[in-house]
Amino acid sequence: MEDNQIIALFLARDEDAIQAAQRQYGAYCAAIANGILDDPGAAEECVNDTWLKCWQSIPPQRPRSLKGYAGRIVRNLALSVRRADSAQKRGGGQVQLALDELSEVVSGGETPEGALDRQAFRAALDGFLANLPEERRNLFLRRYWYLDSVEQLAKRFCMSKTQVTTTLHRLRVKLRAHLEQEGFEV
Amino acid sequence: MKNHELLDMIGDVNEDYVLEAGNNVGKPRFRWKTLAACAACAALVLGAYSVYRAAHPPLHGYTVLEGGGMTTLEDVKAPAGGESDPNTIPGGAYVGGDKGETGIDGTEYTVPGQDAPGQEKAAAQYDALMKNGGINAAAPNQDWYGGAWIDNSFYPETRLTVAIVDGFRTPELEAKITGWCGDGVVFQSAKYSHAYLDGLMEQVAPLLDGTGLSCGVGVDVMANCLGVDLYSNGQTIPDSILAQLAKLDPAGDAIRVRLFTGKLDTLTDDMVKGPAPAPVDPEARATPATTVDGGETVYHGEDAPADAVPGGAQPQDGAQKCGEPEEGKLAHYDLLPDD
Repeated sequence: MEDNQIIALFLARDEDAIQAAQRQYGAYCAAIANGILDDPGAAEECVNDTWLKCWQSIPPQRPRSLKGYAGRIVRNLALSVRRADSAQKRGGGQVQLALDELSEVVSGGETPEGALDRQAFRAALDGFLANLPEERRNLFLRRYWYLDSVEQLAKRFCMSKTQVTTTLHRLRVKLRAHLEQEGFEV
Repeated sequence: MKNHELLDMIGDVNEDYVLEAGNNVGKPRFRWKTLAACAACAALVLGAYSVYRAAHPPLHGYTVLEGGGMTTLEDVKAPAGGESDPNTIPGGAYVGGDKGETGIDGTEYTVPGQDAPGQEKAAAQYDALMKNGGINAAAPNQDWYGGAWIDNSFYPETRLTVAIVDGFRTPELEAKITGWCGDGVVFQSAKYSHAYLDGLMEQVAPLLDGTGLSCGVGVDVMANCLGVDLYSNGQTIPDSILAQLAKLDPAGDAIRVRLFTGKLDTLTDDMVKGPAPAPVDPEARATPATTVDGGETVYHGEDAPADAVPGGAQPQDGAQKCGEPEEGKLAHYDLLPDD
């Protein structure tokens, strides 16, 4: 079933939409959740919650791409579960590693409520990604969006682990410089 | 800003980029840099090797044989003789059986070559080979011909052995040679033709001229190589000579280099006259001038009469006295010619 047909089912409040979405994007969402969570049961629960969120948010939302929309929801849900488990948060996993790496980009200070223009910040991030070569952009997003491990990235991009680590470090330095140039006090 | 806030914000980036990264599967990249680095290293190694080889050319190997001066003894039979030697045949094969010598079976030779009728047959076969094969015995010119010699290992029979160069050895050629020489010829494969080794000798000989090395160069047909025997006489073989030999013989088996160490045997006054006698103190002499042994008087040292020999044996009439040169001749002259 095509993406827009499934969205149409959601918009029509047809319960078959959830099954159709599960069939079409269940594996994709499960992969994202499993990348963030070590527990397959928790990941499956996140995926189920994703379809519920979709059911609740469509309409009024009308996503351009259901795959992207569902992916973002499952990522946020999985990160929330990860954060809720404080022991796991300290204990490691790709989330903690990614957070440690991103500490190089941000100062870690408190941001006053309303001081950060999220739309502008997102635009700055999009601008940063747009200026990157495709491979670098994909590498960055696989690490900080999909939270792939360095080993997975090395295999996926046919690079050595050292190359991956070095490239990611340079990208973070570049991101910090870009955000500062855009006027953000990170 | 907190790092988890940034992580959350990254989650909101353009979906297109996210989906693109989700679909992306890396392709194996052709590593130009690695390849270029490897090629550069290989070129560097090859270049360095070429420079090294130019500075240090490969040297021909050689065998060192200890001692072995160029001593020629009068009673040694040289296997290769000239035409005047009745016991040799063209090409240097030795027939043997000098008059007055004793053979392996204990019989005394009375006529040269009498003990070896088989050798005469082999010699005749050799002649037939030279004649019918169109081979110049002095300078063999057939590409197939690696050499020929009379093999005594079939004693009491002797056989003519013919070396045929690899690639030329065919049943037809062997049959042809048997037709020329008769039955009993032994065939052996050889890598180099006699003509090639001769040509090599012509190139090697000038190399050794002016080096000051004593040398002997000749084709060894049985070993199928050019034998170069160098007599160091305390010198070492210059690397330049070995390098040129290696150039002439890249495979290393066409030229056999042997280095005989030690000095050449040359006669000196000391060898002729013997060491100077140590001065004798008559007072310190421990032994008496004479002793009696079984009723006979034995003389010692200078107290002995002129016709006495040490130990008491009396010289025969006309025999030379020990330690005393014959009139007009030097003492210890057995290494010197009479003149």
